[in-house]
Amino acid sequence: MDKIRYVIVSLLLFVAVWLFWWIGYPQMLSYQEQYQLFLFTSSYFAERIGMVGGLADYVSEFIVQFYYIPVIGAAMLALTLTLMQVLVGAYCIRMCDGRATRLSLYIISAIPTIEMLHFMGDENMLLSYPVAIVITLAATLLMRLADTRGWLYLSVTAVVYIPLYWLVGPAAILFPILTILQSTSVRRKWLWTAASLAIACAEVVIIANTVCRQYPYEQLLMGINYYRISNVHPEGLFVVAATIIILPFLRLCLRRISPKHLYPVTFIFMLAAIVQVPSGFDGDKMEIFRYDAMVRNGDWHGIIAAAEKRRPVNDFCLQGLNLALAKTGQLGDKMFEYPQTGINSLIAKRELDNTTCLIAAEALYHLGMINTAFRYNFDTQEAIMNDRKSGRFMKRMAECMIINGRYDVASKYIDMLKNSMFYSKWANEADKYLNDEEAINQHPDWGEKRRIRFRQELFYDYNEIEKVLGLLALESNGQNLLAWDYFNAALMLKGDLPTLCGMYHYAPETFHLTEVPKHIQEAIALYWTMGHPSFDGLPYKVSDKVKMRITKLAGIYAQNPNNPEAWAKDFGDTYWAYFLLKQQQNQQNPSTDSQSGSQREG
Amino acid sequence: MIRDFIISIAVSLMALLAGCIERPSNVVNVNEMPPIYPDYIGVTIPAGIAPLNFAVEGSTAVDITVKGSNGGEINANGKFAKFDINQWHKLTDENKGTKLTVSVCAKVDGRWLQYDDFDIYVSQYPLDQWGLTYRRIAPGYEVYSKMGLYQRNLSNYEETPIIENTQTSGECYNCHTSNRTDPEQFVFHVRGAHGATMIQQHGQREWLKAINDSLKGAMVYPYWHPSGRYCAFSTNQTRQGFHTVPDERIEVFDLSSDVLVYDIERHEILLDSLLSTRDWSENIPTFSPDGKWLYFTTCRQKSYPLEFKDEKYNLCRIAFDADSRSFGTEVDTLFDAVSMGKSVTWPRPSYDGRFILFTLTDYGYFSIWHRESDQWLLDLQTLEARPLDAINSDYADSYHNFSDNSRWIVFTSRRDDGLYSRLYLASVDEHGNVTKPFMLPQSDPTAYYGKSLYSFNTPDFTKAKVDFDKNSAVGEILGDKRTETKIAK
Repeated sequence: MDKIRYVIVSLLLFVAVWLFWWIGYPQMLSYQEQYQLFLFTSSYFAERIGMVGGLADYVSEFIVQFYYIPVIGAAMLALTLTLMQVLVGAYCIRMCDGRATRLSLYIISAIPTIEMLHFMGDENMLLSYPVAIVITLAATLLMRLADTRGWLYLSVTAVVYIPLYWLVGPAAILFPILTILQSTSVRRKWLWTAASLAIACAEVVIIANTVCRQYPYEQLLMGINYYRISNVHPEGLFVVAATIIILPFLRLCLRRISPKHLYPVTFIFMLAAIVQVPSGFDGDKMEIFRYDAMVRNGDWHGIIAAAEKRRPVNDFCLQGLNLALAKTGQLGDKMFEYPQTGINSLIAKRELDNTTCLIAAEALYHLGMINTAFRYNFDTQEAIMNDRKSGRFMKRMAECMIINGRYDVASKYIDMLKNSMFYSKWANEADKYLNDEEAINQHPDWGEKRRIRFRQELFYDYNEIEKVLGLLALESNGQNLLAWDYFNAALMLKGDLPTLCGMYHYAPETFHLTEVPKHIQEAIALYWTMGHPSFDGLPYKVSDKVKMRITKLAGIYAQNPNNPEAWAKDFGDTYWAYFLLKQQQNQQNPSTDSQSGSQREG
Repeated sequence: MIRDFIISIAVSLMALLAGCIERPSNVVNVNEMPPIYPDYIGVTIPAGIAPLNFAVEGSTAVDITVKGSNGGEINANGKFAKFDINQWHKLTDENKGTKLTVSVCAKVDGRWLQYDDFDIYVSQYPLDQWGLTYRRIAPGYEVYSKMGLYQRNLSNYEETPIIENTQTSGECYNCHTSNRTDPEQFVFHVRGAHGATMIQQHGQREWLKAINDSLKGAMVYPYWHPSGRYCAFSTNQTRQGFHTVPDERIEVFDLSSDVLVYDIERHEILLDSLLSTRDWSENIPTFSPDGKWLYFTTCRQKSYPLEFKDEKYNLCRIAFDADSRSFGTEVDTLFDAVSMGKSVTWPRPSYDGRFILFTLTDYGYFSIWHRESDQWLLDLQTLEARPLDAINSDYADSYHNFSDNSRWIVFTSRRDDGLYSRLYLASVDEHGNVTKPFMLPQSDPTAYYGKSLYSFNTPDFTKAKVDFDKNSAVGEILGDKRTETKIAK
């Protein structure tokens, strides 16, 4: 009967954790999955197992690859975290008397798992840590088989610690502590616990000075790959480990509580832990990851729907939204319905981290800027702080190389991807295209990119991105409508209305446009009114509605030039609001002109 | 794919149980050379080099016999040709100056095929070097992940890090340069938050401040004076441009650059007006083996990036007097590449003083990003230069160095897959004739090179294993204690 209850508790936890990730934070799964590339090769296994904590990394990366399909990935993750609870529970209840206390403690043994959920809200916390704990706990429970004589038990503990440390990393420090605490044969446990910790540290020092000299002591003692930034060791690592050590002692308190109050107390414990979980997840970051996941999956309508529900919170999300609007042919009509901030909200400047340029890399690829897309993907992959490779980026890099006709390089990436679980199907298919010019030219994506990509030699210059986009659009002879839309958007974001109006003479004919997009009309009308007293002689198709609205705006603006709220109220969805606000900001802070870009690249 | 993985493990285990041996049967002769990787057909090797293990493309098993002209025979049987190191060394020692004949039988699509035999020539010239040093880094743009300086024993496959950036906070290490392949004196740069130029002499390390404020930039591209007292550097204001067209990738150009000599004893920088001109960029200095000449490249300064295709360097030299720490008053042009519409880079003299090996590109000096880059040899007796067709490829061939006895060269080439540069070695005789190069041998070359996402660069020979106390060095890097350099009056 007790076992059934335990199973039910663990099953409930599994379902809750599964739903938490699958429904609550699937974007986090996508984010994590793209920063590793698990390969079914012996050399990959050897590479992992050849460093401290390697088995935990290997198992963790095996699990994380399933995040590619969130429903399965969430289940795998839930299984791991539930296993952690089961092992903590199994460890605790053995030392516990009384049926009710045992069940209560078993329920409370979910707290390290719940804490883990909280800490995994930090995108750099890796699954290696909970996996390392699971393996350590399993080894600890197995040690019960050797718990016959004190000296034997202590000797086995000291010996087992070394390979365990190598396999899972410093989380193995739980092993000597928990093994001695659970022992029935060892006397003077505190003394032996202290001694075993000293021995464990000495063993680490020996390893550090012999077989693992390429890592500093700090990482060998705190974990090389529990956290993506190897020289950062967040509090979560210590809190979870400390909770696991403390939990068994909770029995001493629980057994003093009457059965009537035991479950309410248990409930309070659990509630206190659960309410902490959401605070581990930064809402803005989750939005970034959500947009990134949607861009990755080409869910353009999903992005627009998300933006309609909640305004994009930063440039990253705006880039995703602008790409979605452009891909659905709405950029020129809708982009200024959202709070654009400048050229950075269209395409990000290359930053040297692993997140900022995720959407820019996608946008560049869709635009046909293949070399720059390759560069953004390559450098983003190199910026993964724990030196892992990425299935997502490598796939994109292979596509770039196929489009560029560099089949030898593409083949290298494809061969690697063939050894993965979720990219192998794509890789095998892509392999058939290598060296087949005709097939590539007929390919719906790669063929199109070949037709719209750059032909003229020039350097990519972010500071003059509008010129780069303009050249790209015009070179394509009307085929690269996306580049044309981005070009216009860039001109508007930079406030270069003379060029916009000048270039728009080409548009209807070259790009077979029947209507001028709303925001372009607004920009043209704005530029026209700056130099003309009326709309007579306006050589562009600007609707009467736009003309009437700008006339109305002119009146309001004349009365309230320094009060953006006055004109933003009725015109916040227009290009004019953006333009006037930017102009005002530039007047107030001429040195921080976000439209002109910042420093040169290189 | 998982199924394949499981099957391959199962097959491997069964093969292990069966003694890993699959003997040829019903062999069919094919009159063609075997498609082997790496391409070791007709290469010339030094005796004592690590075995040239190779795979036969498309095969599931191979049976290889290697016979020496002077006698001796070894065999390899398995998934690929993997030779016993001791047997290989014995065979190459016995056949110095002659050749090895390799007979390849491979199982392809279930059939055993006997290919034409091919030869590997064992040079009469000894290598006389312990191994190589090089940097391994992903061929990226502005970001790098794990990278480091490594050393490789050439008689086997042992590769050990000299220093890796996993030991610090992601610094970049580059331009490891020893004095005439002797690791008793070497220099390298650290770039990043804890930047420095490290000079180690006889086990003592000195960390120079990365940038002297009087110079235009950091000291880069070092080369030792044979006395060991001086090290030549250039100081460059380097910029990168990123191409948009398919066949190009990165362009590196200098807004300006000068050449200088650093006096290690006095911590002084020796400048000269002829090496730091206003309208010309002086770059990539090297000393002649007798120390009396300083070779460098020079280019008329243009407006970059606009005129990046006009950045073209000639090879020049100026006299240097180590005793008086002074330079000559004239600059000689040794090789006029500009008149050919080309550009010279990475001049490296042979230690016997006879040749200068350099790279010729269409423009610029960062040849690794120039597919047309080829190796050229300048004969200092006749001042005639010629391309080394035997070692050049359709991809960038660059970064080279001579062995101490000047009979071997190591260089990088992208010929393997077009992007990731690999190391190649070739023999050079007294007349400058080179042999077909061979790719640095690996225990399992297909696995090693196929899975590697790193490029090898700035390779050099090393007489002995580099003795570098990594742990102390890491503390010193992070400690930021740096020696100031000063300009000599």
